[in-house]
Amino acid sequence: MTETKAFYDEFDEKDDLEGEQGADITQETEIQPEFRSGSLLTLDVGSVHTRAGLFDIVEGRARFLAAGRSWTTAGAPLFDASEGIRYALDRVEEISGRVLIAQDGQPLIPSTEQGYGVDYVASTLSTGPPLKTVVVGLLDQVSLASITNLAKTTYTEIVASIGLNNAQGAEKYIDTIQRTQPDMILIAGGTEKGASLSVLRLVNLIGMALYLLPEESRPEVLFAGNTSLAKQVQAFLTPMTRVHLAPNIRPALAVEHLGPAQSILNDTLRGIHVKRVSGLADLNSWSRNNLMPSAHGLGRVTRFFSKVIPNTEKSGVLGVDVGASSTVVAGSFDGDLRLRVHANLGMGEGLAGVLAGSQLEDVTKWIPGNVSPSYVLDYIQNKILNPGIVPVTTEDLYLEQALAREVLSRAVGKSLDAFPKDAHRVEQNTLPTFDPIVVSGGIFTNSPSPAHSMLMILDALQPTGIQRILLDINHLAPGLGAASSVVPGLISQLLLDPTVLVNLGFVISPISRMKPGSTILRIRVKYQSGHETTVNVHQGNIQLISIPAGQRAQVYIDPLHRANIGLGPGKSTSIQVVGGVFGLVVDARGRPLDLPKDPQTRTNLLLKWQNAFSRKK
Amino acid sequence: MLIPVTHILPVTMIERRRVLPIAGTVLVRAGQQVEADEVIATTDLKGEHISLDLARGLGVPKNKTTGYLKRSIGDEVDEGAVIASRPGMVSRSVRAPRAGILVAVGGGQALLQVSRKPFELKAGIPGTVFKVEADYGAIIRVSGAWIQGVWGNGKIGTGGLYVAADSPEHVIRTADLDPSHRGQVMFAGHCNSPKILDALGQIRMSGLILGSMDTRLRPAASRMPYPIMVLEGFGKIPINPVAYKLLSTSAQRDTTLNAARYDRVLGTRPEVIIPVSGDVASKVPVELETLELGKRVRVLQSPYRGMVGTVSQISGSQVMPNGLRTESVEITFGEEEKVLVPVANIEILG
Repeated sequence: MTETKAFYDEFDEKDDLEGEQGADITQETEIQPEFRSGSLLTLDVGSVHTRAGLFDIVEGRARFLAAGRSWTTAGAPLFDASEGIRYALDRVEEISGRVLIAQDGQPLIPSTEQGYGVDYVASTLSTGPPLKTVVVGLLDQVSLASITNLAKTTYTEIVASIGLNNAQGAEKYIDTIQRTQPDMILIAGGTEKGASLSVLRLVNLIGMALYLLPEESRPEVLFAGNTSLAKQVQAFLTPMTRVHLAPNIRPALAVEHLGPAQSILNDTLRGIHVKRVSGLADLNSWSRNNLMPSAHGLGRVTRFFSKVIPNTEKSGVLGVDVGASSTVVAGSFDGDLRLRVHANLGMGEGLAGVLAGSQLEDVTKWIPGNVSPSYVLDYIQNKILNPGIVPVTTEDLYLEQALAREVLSRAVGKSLDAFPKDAHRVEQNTLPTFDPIVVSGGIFTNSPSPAHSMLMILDALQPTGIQRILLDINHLAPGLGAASSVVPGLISQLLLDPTVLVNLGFVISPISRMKPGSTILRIRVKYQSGHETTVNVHQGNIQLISIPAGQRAQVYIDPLHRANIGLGPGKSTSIQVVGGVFGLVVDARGRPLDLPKDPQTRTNLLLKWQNAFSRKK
Repeated sequence: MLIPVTHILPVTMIERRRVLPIAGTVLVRAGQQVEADEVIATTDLKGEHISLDLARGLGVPKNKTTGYLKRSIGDEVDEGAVIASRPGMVSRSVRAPRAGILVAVGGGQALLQVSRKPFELKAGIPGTVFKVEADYGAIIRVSGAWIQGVWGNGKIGTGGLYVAADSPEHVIRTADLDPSHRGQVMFAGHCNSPKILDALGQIRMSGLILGSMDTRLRPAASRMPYPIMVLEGFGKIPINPVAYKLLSTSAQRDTTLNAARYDRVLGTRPEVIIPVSGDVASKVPVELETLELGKRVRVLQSPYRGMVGTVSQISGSQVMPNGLRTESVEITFGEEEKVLVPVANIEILG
């Protein structure tokens, strides 16, 4: 008979793998050039909109100059992201009066002496369907859990999960890979100097599945397991597909280390998107080969804040971005970024996630008055079909904002397991304390007034303790996060610029067991002018204390009846506050928010909360 | 500013690129006439596999198994056929548990493909094969009326057009169902009853074009064996006057309903095509247009949802009744009624 050659060289189980050195794996490196004066253009290609932002040094300070927006054109009918980018840039040129694009359609980089063009471009991306991903690991609770966590840090949809503990046979997994035709396979397994044979067995399986796929349909592979196997895995799979290596995400049983692998995963994603979507290759080259997932850009912003803001209470920094297709939740704790991307949970196509996972009452409870279930369902379906549409009537506005509350609340709820277990909380089952909270997303930034935005944020997140709420009014945060590695000095100025991240106000959210109407806090505010005011806060209310925008005030907070503002029951504190849109907002409604079942009582309460923002004290 | 276009045209050139997901066999040639449900290309998607543990079966190390193979990759094997055997005082062999094709060997294992999944690609539209793409498919062109919808259940059908909608506000009722229309494509208004959908299946209609549909019918509509397309959206929405006029005046004409699933990224949309003979149109219409005065547009959001008018003013940033500030246009409906609508809430009809 004809000798049959194996489709790959088999692993020799007797190899002395222990003697191998770890593979040469790229570490996450951030370019840290010297900060110098210069202009910056940020470009974000989202699933519905493409946005551009222009920044420059004016009178010695970094300033935000202009923003432009267009429809994203990466998908049908143009299948070329550059058209949308060009329209967004046209708008920026129109507003700023500055020429950014040369005759050949390319941006002028660096800027000219005449003031044309820009010095730096930073770009981010969240367009297109999430990448279909297969995750492979050994034990469900160990490497498989970690590789799943890695996949969730970016825009992926996990179509299959393969591990040693799963009951299915090898052939079923091969069939699954054939059927789902993933874009990417992520493999983990084996602690450092730990398991190797089991990992290789899984890699064998993946190799077989890849071999059976047509060459043009083979997914790229990222290996983030036992580093002593990395070179061997790469040599084995490379004849079939492109293989990326990352440091072991589970170097020890009790240690999960996603950061460096996240960076390699971003590189992998970038490569896949640039190959598939026309116009992204240019965008990537303008931004020095650093086109980044928008989620990672926002994550960097939260990490920046968590490093620069003095934090004695061990609070984290939270960033959320509710997009049309997906929602990003980024929590940073003393520089440790925990990122979750909830693909298929958003305000456009992502409403499919609400239909699939929420109850109708989770949405309708936030709408004053009665709305029929069929109206809500019809609205959701139509919004999925036309994600760019905006509400015109008050009823539709209420419905859309109710959906936003549910989307954000669900996304944050599903991200809690990503946050450190020892993160500071006012009470056991509350959200960890965060300061500041950075909020991005059209539903919050395009609302009729900041009151709508603030109330949506407070209802959805239900924060506790004391924090600032910063609104990313022009959706610039992801781009600035992407630029932070290129021009860190510029970015640190811009992120503290109140025209970039609008300070909605300081929020104090006490937890108290007292009856509604009881006085639970006494707050004394000493203004810059020397003037003082004292306000008693009652359980169940939202109370606003005015502090003029930009002005500083010293705020003394005395909890009564063991109310807790994050320092422990009844413990007082004093903070310095800079006035924002709302000054000081005291949300004494309790946690979790308990909405009455009776429709009329509930409506009255919702309207009372809305009205609270129109009665500044 | 670019605005998406929905096509509702009495005569135009429609062009569709239809290709297999993986290479296969193309069954048509350039210039050939095809029907919408005609198969133009086929391929075999990989079916079910069975993994055989050669190392264990033969009792040899994993890296020594290939030397004992009795079959080559690509061989078709019968049930019970010997895949590998090791001679000796006590010989050992591994046999195929089912008939199939040996597709891979490695790591001490052999993989048998035990079923095939044939995939047939249909033309999707009736017309002429304009160009063949070797091993993958073809580009097909047809001239005719073209109406795009917003939701489809993924099926294709052809038949004479039965116009049941007597007004844009029509609601489909059992009285509209008539077995004499078997094999036809029905055009109706709003549907809110799963029983109607079932009854149409029993009558064996070739398709259903609806103005709108109750959201709760979506799962049932997806399951129906015949194509269903929705023109306007979910909820009770009148049929837009342009589509109503075109379809209601096309009774009995041969109609193809390709109720493709709407994919905003890939650009697939459900569509109705009513072919005309000859190449009466030579240009394929554009999918995006610039916002300009006089453009005919359809409103996508309440309170004017589904209404068609013309752009009478580009109004810039304006405040809506709910307080939202947004880029807006003034739209004139009919002779006089002028309303302010967000640009985000319109699409051009072209």
